[in-house]
Amino acid sequence: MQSGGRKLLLATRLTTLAIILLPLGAFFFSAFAANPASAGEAKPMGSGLAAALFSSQTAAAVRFSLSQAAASTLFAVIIGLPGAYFVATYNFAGRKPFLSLAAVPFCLPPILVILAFILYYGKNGWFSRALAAAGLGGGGGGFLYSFWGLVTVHAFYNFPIIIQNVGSVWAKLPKSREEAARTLGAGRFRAFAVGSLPQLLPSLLQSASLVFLFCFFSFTIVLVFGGLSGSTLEVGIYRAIRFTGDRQRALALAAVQTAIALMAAASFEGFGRRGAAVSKGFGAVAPRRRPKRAAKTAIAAYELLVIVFFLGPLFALAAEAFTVRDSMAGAARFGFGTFARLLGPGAPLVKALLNSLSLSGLAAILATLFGVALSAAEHYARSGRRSTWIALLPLAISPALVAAGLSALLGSGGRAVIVLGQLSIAWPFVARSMEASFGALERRKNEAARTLGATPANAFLLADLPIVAPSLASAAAFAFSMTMGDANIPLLLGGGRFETLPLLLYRLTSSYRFSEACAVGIVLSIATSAAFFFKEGTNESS
Amino acid sequence: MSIIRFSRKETSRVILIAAVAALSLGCQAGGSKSLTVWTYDSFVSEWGPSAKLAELYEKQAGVKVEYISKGDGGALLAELKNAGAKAEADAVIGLDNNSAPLALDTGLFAPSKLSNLAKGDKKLIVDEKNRLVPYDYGDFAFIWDSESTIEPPESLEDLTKPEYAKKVIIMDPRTSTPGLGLLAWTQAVYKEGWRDYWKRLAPSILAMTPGWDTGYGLFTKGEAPLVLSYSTSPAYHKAYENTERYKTLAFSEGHSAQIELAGVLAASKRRKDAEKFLNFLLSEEAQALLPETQWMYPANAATTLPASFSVVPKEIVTLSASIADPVGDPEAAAAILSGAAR
Repeated sequence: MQSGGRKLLLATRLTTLAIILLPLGAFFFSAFAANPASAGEAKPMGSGLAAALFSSQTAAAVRFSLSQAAASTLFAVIIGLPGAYFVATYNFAGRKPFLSLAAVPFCLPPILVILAFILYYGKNGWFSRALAAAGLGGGGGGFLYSFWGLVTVHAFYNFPIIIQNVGSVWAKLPKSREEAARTLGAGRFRAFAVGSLPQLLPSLLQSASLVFLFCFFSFTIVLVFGGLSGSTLEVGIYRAIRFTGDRQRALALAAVQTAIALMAAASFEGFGRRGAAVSKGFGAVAPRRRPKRAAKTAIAAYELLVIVFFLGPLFALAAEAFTVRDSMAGAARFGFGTFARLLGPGAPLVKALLNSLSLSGLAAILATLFGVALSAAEHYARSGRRSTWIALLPLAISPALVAAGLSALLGSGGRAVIVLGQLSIAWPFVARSMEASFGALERRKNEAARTLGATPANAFLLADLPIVAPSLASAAAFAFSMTMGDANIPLLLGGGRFETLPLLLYRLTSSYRFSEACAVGIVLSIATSAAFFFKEGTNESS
Repeated sequence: MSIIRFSRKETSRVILIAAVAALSLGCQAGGSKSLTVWTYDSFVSEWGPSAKLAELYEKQAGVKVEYISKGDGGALLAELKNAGAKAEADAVIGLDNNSAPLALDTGLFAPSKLSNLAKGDKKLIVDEKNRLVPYDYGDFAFIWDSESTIEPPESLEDLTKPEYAKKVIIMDPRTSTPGLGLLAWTQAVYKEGWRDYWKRLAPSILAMTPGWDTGYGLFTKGEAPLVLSYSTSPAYHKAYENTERYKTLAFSEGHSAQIELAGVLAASKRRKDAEKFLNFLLSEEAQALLPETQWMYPANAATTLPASFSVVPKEIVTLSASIADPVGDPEAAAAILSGAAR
């Protein structure tokens, strides 16, 4: 069976590589294929590519992508770290909702985050008006649209990832080393720095590299808030494909982007492995304490800051959806008129919701099957070594390029293209989380089943599958919320004959209908977060 | 024996998702004998003219029209260039005078003979061979929020004054038609000096958004009191909100215009039908649908304008404007603004 396993592994790996590389190949081909339509400006092959690779615009885009991603990550770590400490150490009211904030960066489409931040921090936003009412300056000029505005939005969008990932490791951290340092006379901070920090660092750096990757590939938020301060490589790729039609330039930008992202992905993997090695020695999760007075105050203050700066914009978004105005700037009052209009003639909301549910449902099912197949093959064919490096590749490839490659292969505007595009963003996450649960399986059970005469397939079904089933369900739910909330793939592929929730959202904002856009946003976020909470539930019970 | 420990609730959820998926995939099949028209988002939205146009045309000519939206105007052109002769469309609606040279360069469009074209202003003709024909037009203009604290500027030059620092929202010339329109406008007024003008303008710009929608959205949310848009925008607020709060500013130097164009694809097997549909698009009956859906002036001068258009100032002078280098200049303009912001 070992050789059968090897073959299986090889087959899944080849399929995976094909799925990753096919759209890229198609794009590559379309960039160099002689286009009969523009024969007038035929250039020697590759000259556009080389020119774009070494242009000052590319250099500027690299600088901007790196600096904004680095600053955003640093900022997110600073905001997230206290939260990670609190959820790891203390029991307090609001701990659970705190952890579920991690859903936001995965499930809330950036376009909604943008709307939320404008409604809250904009010149006429709630926050700015509150500041002005308190006599604290009348909204300075356009912070949101500057470099630091962009960094702030990114940091607020991603810090919950730090809370959840670092917090879960922090909770398992043995106190012994820190306590030893204390008895040897070290101060609290020194004891932490010497005792706990080295053990915490791998997981901290791992989450930081994930946030870095997200910000590095950031697209919609940079389009809106970064217009003046600069553009990332991803935005450059998008412009080159969608507007200038200069595919060689897109290819050059994407090559540079992937090279950098691979480094970040590799460090993500490296830190992950170190983290796993370090945490092997950790025992069970230490019981959480009830906070004492000082800690209580600190937690309350932290919660207040998160509510004011992070949840505030989301509340503003929800409020906007239930606001009815006689005119765009007229007096506002509470009502369901916005929803009524969306459910009225033609019911665009229902159509889009059904389309979204079906496409994302299908993409999630396929992503789950695929991710499970890959991680299972890795698990059974190799004895216990963690290496799903293939699942890291997609994290380093421009979604805009993949989308354009897919539509070059299959034609744009079809449903299959959207399903495949969304499948390609979701399966790596399924594969990675399943890899972890396969890794935690006890091999003995499977072996016992085999000794009793079960075939490998039966041994898998009877011994292992029941154990990984909860995390499988949770990975599927996660894949569903990810594909549901993803607005980039449909946006990059363009609509066509049908409409999904994110596409409806974009179309509403382009037709003066901002309250309706918020209402669609509410429906979209309920759909994505429902799946996410379902996932949290299965995690908690497992 | 439980192979997978899904609870009943979980199982039913998964089944539900799968069922909905299968159902809606099944519903979409079906071939088409209809005329296929590529266009952009706002044309096909439920507030756009597309459905009504198709309905009228089917009644009149017995031919169904199917629209495929390609995103916005810029994306439409990129899709055309990319698909080339393989574009699965008979006609295209939604190119404009600024993108026309690039669109015509593709060689994809065939000349069409439309009797209704003669009812329009000759100044709207962009292509002498009528491969692309005008169906509506509007002037680019800055819109002023009259409830803001600033005085309205009276010229492009006024916009560079310190009192308008961070008070203006414009669109990116690399990705949007209004952005390109502003570029053409400043080139028409300042000739070679347009780069200097953009440098002087930079401190006044609060945000440069990727498209008109985002920029205008920020404006109506009160982010800035001035926005680049169309002279006809206040007509929307008049018609649907009965307010005259937002006012078009007629600038002393004159304005640049956007002329929206449609054309028949040479590769279409149904060129005659496509031509008939475009001629219908230029008829008074069809043109009357455009002002309050596209918020543009109809190309056919015999069309009656709705009352809401009375709020658009009559004294706007349209300059003849085009962009010297349609590929390099938008990049240069955006670079000037980003350079100044740093």
